Amino acid sequence: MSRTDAASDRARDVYDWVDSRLDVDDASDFLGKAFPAEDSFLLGEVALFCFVILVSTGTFLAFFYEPSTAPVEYAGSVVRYQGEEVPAAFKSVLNITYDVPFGMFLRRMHHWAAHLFVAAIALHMLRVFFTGAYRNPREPNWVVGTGLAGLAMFAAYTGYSLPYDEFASTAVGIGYNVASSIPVVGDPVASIVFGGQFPTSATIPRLFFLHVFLIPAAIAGLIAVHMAILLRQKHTEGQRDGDVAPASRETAESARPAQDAGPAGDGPAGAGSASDATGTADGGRPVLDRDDDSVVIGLPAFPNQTAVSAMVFFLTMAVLSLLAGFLPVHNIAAYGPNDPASTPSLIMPDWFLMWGYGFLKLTPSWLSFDVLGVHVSSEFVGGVLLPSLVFLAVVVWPFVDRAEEPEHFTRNYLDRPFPTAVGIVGVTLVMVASVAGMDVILAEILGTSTAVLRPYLTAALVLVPAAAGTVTYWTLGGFDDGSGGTGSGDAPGDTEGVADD
Amino acid sequence: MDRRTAVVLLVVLAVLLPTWYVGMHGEPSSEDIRIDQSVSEMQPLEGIVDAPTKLSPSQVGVIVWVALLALLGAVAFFHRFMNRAARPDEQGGGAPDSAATDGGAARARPSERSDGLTFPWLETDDRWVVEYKDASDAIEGLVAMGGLTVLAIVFAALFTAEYLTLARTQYFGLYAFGLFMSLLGSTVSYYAWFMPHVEVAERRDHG
Repeated sequence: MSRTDAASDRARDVYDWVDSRLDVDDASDFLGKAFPAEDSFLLGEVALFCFVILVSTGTFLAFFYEPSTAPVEYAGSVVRYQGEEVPAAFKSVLNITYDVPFGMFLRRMHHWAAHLFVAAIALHMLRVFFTGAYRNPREPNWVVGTGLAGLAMFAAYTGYSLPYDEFASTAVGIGYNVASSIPVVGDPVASIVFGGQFPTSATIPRLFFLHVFLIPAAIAGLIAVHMAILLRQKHTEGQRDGDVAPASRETAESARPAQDAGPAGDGPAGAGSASDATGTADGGRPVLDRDDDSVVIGLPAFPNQTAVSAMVFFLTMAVLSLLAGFLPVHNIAAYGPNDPASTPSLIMPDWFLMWGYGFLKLTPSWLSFDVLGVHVSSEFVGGVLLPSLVFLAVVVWPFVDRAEEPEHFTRNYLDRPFPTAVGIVGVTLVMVASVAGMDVILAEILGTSTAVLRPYLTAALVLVPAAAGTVTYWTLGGFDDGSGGTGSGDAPGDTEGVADD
Repeated sequence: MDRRTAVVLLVVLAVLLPTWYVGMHGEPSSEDIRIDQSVSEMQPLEGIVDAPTKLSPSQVGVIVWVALLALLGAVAFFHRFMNRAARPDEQGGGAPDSAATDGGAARARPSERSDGLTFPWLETDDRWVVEYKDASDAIEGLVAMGGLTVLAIVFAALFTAEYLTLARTQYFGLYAFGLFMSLLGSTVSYYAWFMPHVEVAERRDHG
């Protein structure tokens, strides 16, 4: 017996042993699951791999991080702080960054992965939105995905504060003020999240617990639910170029001469000619029509899709490596430790919270009012109510643009004037609100003050999305037929009456 | 490009580009951080090129979106390369290339492979093979994989050496990038030249 045969026998013995305990043969059916080979469908994988990287690098960082605001003397290698009393959390992050091998690289990678995680989720959601992939039966997964997006942002927010540097603690302090502005339950909510009036000695340990345990566990749980629903419902699929080959070997055999004889250009791989030629010649099982959505076509999970996923993983790692190696992110040594007596010249949250910050800045103070003895502040309106309404709109959208019958093919955004216009309104609204969040920078660019800019930004917040949505709707012919194009169109399988609103 | 797509793209860019322009105007660079070499021999800040000392959150936002779009572009490029190279018989002017989700008919079956390799999980009661192309096993694939494997080993060695010496962050980034790109290249090469291209149709068994 050759060495190869012996190794093969040993591998089979191991497999049989595992199979006898866990019945993995039954589960092997999963290995063939079909993944439609669409590039944009891989955005979810980018997000998933970012989460894996976040957990891995976060574990490394947690070994060295100290969640405490207690003052300690710094004796590390950064000259500027040597001999100074700084918060223990700040000191531990300085140590990770400058005195632990790999420390700066892995800390930066953790940060960049967090940003890429949020961006990949956002683009993934936009892809799903503009292709109508949230419709029946996928509304539950859209809701779960929206929850994941919210949790990802909250995870980043809680991590942002952990170094307890001047820049982050000031920005996080705004979050505390917003949380405590919620009518009736504001103080308890702020107390639960921040451990009392920010900043207290309980704040950092509380946010640390949320950041490293509770929120990641919730994200992992939701990812599991997201994947389970995906496995059960299977992927959506782009439009096919031709009919689908029949299932039985006999049909494949009978189809082959026909397809091989088919002229070049006669459909993909001759499938069209095959179907024309064979019909139901296999004894009753016809070739499946290209519009038949009772099947999904794609690469099998193993080996093909696994290789594609590996490609995506390596590319994600390569991009993050380059970012982490060459671009700093949240350089705490440049900001210094938290100083309650001072305010940084530039205060802003992470970019993905900038639109909420923009709402907060543009909400006029006269929007504070009392209802039945309960005070509603402008901080609550701008910082909680408006962003919550945006999230609510995202969550309920599949139930607005609904379909009575299940849909398994993706839609062309050009054929859906109304949903596409609504999507463009949402995207431009977030961008204009983000500019409002950066009004300090804009004022500096234009050489004016934020007070002068504010009325213009408020007007732009309404007019720009409205104009963008109208132009989009008009361009896609929404005004032509009056149907609004909420979802029906030329998508395959749509002829049997998709009930749109 | 479809005229309507171009208009929608212009609408988005008309808002996106000014947003990014504002976002890129973050904080000016601060003074370099000085490291006391008597405390640590590491030199994490030493690098190949001058890089900004700090980035504002808005700058980070612009950079990460550009990186994500570049990542997507690279995914699309390599994905196409894998599929194109996996279909050598269609490159020579044979049957026209088809989209990956075209539902093309089967030409050969995994069970018919001359090397006896089978994938029994591909064909079940609810799943069947609709397209199968044998790998070319061409020599250039072997050369590519060999070269990329050597590269991966070299980058891994450099990465380890950096850890044991100065731990310079830019070098870590460069070596890790090289390592992962080499592994990526090996994966793509293996798929393109040595892995059969298989597509399956699967019953949804769900509304």
